Amino acid sequence: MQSWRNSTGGIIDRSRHLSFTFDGKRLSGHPGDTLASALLANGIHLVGRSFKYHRPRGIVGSGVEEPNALVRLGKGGSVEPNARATTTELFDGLVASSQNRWPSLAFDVGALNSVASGLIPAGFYYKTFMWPAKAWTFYERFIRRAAGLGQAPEEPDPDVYEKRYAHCDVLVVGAGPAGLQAARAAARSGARVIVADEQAVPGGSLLGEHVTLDGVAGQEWPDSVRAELESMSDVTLLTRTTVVGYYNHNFLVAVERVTDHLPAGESALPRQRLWKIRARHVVLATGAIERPLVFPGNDLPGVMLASAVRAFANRWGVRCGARAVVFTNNDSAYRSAIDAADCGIHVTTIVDCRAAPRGRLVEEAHSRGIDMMAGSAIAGVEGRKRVRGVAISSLDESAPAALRKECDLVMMSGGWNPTVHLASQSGTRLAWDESLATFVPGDAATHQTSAGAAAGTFGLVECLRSGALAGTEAAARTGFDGEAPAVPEVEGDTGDGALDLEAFWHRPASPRDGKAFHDLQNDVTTADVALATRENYVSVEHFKRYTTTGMGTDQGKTSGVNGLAILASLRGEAIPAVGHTTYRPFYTPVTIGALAGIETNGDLYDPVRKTPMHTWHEKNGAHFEDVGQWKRPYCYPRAGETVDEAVQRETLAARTSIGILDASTLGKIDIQGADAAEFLDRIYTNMFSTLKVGRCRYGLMCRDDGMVFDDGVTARIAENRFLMSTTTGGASTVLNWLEEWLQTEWTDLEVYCTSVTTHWAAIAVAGPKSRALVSELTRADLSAEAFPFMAWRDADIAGIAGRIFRISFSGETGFELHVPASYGLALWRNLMTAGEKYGITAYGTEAMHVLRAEKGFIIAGQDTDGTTTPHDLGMSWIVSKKKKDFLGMRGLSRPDTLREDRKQLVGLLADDSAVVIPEGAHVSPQPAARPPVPMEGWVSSSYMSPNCGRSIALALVRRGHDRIGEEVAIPLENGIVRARIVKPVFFDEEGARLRG
Amino acid sequence: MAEHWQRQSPLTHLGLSAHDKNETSAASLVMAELRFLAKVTLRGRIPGESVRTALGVSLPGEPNTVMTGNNLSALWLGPDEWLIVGPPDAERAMTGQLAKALPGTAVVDVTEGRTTIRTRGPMVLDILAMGCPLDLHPRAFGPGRCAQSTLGRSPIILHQVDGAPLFDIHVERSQADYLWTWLETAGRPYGVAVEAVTAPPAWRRPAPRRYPGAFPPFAPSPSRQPTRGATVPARSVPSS
Amino acid sequence: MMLIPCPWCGDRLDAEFTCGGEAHIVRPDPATASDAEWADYLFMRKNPKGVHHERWFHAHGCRRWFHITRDTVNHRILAVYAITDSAPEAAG
Repeated sequence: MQSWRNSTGGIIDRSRHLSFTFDGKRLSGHPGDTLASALLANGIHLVGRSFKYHRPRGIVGSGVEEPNALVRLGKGGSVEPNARATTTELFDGLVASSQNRWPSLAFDVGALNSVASGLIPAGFYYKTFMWPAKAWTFYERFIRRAAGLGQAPEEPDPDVYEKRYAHCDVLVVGAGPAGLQAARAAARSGARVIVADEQAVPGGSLLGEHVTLDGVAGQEWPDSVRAELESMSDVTLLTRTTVVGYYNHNFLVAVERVTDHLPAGESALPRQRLWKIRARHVVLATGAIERPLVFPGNDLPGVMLASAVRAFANRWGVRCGARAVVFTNNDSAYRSAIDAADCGIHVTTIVDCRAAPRGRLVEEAHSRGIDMMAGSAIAGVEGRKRVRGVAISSLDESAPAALRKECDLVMMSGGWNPTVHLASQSGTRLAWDESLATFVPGDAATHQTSAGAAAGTFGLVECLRSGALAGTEAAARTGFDGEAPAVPEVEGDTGDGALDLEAFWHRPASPRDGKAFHDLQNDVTTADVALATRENYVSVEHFKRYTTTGMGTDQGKTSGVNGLAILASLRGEAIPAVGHTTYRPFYTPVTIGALAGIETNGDLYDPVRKTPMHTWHEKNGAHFEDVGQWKRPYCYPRAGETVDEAVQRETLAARTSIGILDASTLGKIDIQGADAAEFLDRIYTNMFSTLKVGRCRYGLMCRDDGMVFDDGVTARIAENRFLMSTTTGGASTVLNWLEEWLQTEWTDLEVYCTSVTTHWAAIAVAGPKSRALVSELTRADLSAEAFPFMAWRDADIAGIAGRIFRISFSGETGFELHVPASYGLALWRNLMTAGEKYGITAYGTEAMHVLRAEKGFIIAGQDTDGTTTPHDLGMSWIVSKKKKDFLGMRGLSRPDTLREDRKQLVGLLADDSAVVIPEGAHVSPQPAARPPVPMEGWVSSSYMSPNCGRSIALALVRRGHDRIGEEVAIPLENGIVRARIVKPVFFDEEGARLRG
Repeated sequence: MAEHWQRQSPLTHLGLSAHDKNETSAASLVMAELRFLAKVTLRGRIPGESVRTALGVSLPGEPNTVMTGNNLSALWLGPDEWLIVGPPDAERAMTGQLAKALPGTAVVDVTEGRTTIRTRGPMVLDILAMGCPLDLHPRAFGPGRCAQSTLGRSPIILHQVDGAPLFDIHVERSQADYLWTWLETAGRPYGVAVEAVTAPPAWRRPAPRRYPGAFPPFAPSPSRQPTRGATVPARSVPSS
Repeated sequence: MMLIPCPWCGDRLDAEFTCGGEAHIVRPDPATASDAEWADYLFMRKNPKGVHHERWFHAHGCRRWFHITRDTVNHRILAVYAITDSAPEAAG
């Protein structure tokens, strides 16, 4: 029974009924309803409990400004907490429930907070939970339970989200009267236009008014504009779309609720779409929000914004109460009172702060028999879960005591705040407008125009005119000239927009009158402002955080100006002198799903890079690891084998028969040009100009501070052409590094660098039988004499034109085979087949790490940390003393890099050869001192080595090179491991296998 | 041993040919992989004429535009960098020809480094906009334009082939699988179809004497639309 | 979220770029630079509130370095100039 719904009026479809539940109770509404209008039509005002004191709260507004009616929608993984009932479109089967109450909305245990409210003022948590420090873990449990509003769903979100970029000449935010006019003006000029409006249909305030424009009902006029806009190919009209953020250079973010208004499963389209819009000019036609008045008891269900009561009456045909008292300081509430009366609400009294309100609206209200009480204010509200009456007293102190009026509805209006959030986010400063007693946008900080009520222009005709001008001007600024559309002939609204407002912020009251809230959502009262002031939190930014005014989803929509005004009055200063806090994104809450878009799909979270041999690795049971974005086989466990066992087997195979590794991920850069050799001499610490064509050399790269940042083997392909290899993770960093020096510093060098990382598939073949195997697949002479260590050559390998490099990262006789990437898999399979008789074993990155660590070969980024020099690594041999300059040369002679107590690379052998010291463990002197233990270094690499028959480790240890043989201690969570410092090479120190 | 010789594109494992019988007329996004297109980068200060003589296609001087000719497309990548895209197996002849005609210029065969995803369909602009920050509106982009940017989280080279519109996305080989999945996922609510993939051509060494004559005609099978002429449209973006 | 004017590609989203920090840092002659001069070159950077000359690299575009002059307060871009050019006088 929608007993509070009128049988006519509004723009709802009474012929259809939509069934929904609120806290399990089945109710009904009509298409066109919001959850709020449907609840009110069913006579439900109590919809939630307040944040801190758990006070009963009702619907206050009719749109995005709603601070109280935050509900939980849906069930399971689709649950959305903190949805505003006033912006939630009703659909058949909607499930909504109230929040912040236990066990029920009507009886809430948390309401005891309200009784104890004197004990939890602003800053309560800061002051209380400070001491003793150890008790924090105890306090935290309680604070966590009390903190936050609503409950996040725990299941995965089943919905699909989308995000996209968009570009336009003119973006119009808001499709109310000003926005529609602006859009029409800009669109007619030929500009590319996007119009975004948060509601289901355009029209904004027109939807809640009784006027005609050019003879068409105001609630229908927007349809004609919509039709015009939708007929133009370069105009996009987005409804159900809230612009939530305004970023640098006119980049705005909007959220379109694509299917939120539909029952689940009705559409395959995404639930929401995030728009990232770059606009050359922005028209902000975001309207204005009516300001509540601050008086004791102003939070009781039944106290509503006057404009909201009017909108519920005109747009939804809903009466918000039976008997209303209006409380205002300006003229606009009179229009609301008249419309409420027309809707069937008995408006008994208008309480007006102003001493002598006058004008047409005042007379009209008077003529309807509404009582006027000028120079008065509401001093208190009676009722527990709903307004039952108000106490009214004169603002003149000498007047007699309060007068009581019975009512179930209070309509309040403290004036209007232009919705300046987006303007402020963009950097536009706000200016104080004394006559409106609010902030309006000042000079635009960017290509932006505020229009209509958002600019402080009230009155329908003025808004229509302002919008048309703004749209024309915006288009012209982007190079599209057109004439401003005519302002429609308006009938019904005869106001000129003047509010004739007299500021009324608050009235000092005694605590027994009840709490007066300026921030309903965060439960902040005038007493909290007074406390903050007494405690010297007087800067607006401090004040905001200390009292939590304007936080949460409210973002100052209803609370902002009132809070500042009360602070100013308590500080005894003018409001502009106090200033305002900076508005920040988001204007309304944004779901995480919308921000993630399709990247919520795990496969798309980040690109997964795959080598040409990836499918083979998958089929052969590879256990993958992520190296940057690459998937690399870590090892290939066989049936019944653990990861560790597989690594041991693979490591052993590479030194006893043949190991084969997919090395395609290593960075490869083609470097060409007349000055290529000179360039490499400057980039590497060692000399490359002396390298002969057909040979390779290992090189170390330092930053200009002398710290190692990458390494790899570079081959001379031709006199002026080299092929550089880099670490897997360093490929793009190194390429960018080379470009940076070429373009910004050594512009005289003629050198060109091109990434060929993914052009080549690379396969490392290592082990005593490797020469025999590779020789089977090529006619090239691979004997040690004809093709020595560090040579390379072009060759046909298994019929594929490629290159063979005689290089090795394992310390074994080894070959690296490069073929065009699309033949990588073919060659790999070929090698596996041909190598079967030798016991060929594919090995992964971990075996590669063990093999190189056995030889003491470093991995840049693992055994270096950005503060490691070549000398620290014991690699002074690679630092040229002949070159006049190279990157890092001067850095290596800085006093800090010459320090003798630097951390240096050493080997570590645990006393217990079965113990593998964890990487990252600290190294401390022996015997272990009492805590705090001095930290002298850390373990950078540590493995079980099957070829050494024991565990091995590399570490960076202070003054390590002088401490070979010394005993050290590795303190771990469950005891101390004793170890000895050794030279960082554990296998084949002479390198006979490498060169053989 | 025959399978060992199979030349594999990075999307081979998706078995795209199994999907190419889908109805494409209803799809909002139609995708195909153009495999093994020859790709050669050219770097240096190069007189445009010399390339035209060598290959039959001129180098575009205008940033982010494409010149076409002789079944080749020359894409501007930077003030001293171009990518020349040709039919499969043409890379050896192209690099040989360029190296001969332009001594001292950096000519690099990058054929294998990328594959090409061809996209078209009534919603192709919307779906590209879901991950690409470029403005692809006809007033800002158009046939004969190219750009390097990102799509999803992958770096791409985008080439608008015609006004249908049809876009070729050259993506790094290692990320092709990711980007294909990304596009399929983005288009899924609206309908995606896969078109026939060009059959992998046989590996053969092109006869050098055929150049600088005509390259084998390259008619991309998915769209059956010829590559547009060599005219480069004037930039119609209002300068901002 | 900024729109960076690449001298070659036009206005592009900042995500395509890498900012290379303060511009016009001169690399001293390593043969003659004192430790203090070298440290200054390596580590010391301006962090002005206001006009800042900086280097940008169009990493996901044409891969060119260039200079811009940007007001760090409001992100207004006051000048775009070649990587080899010195700072324009007018832009402060």
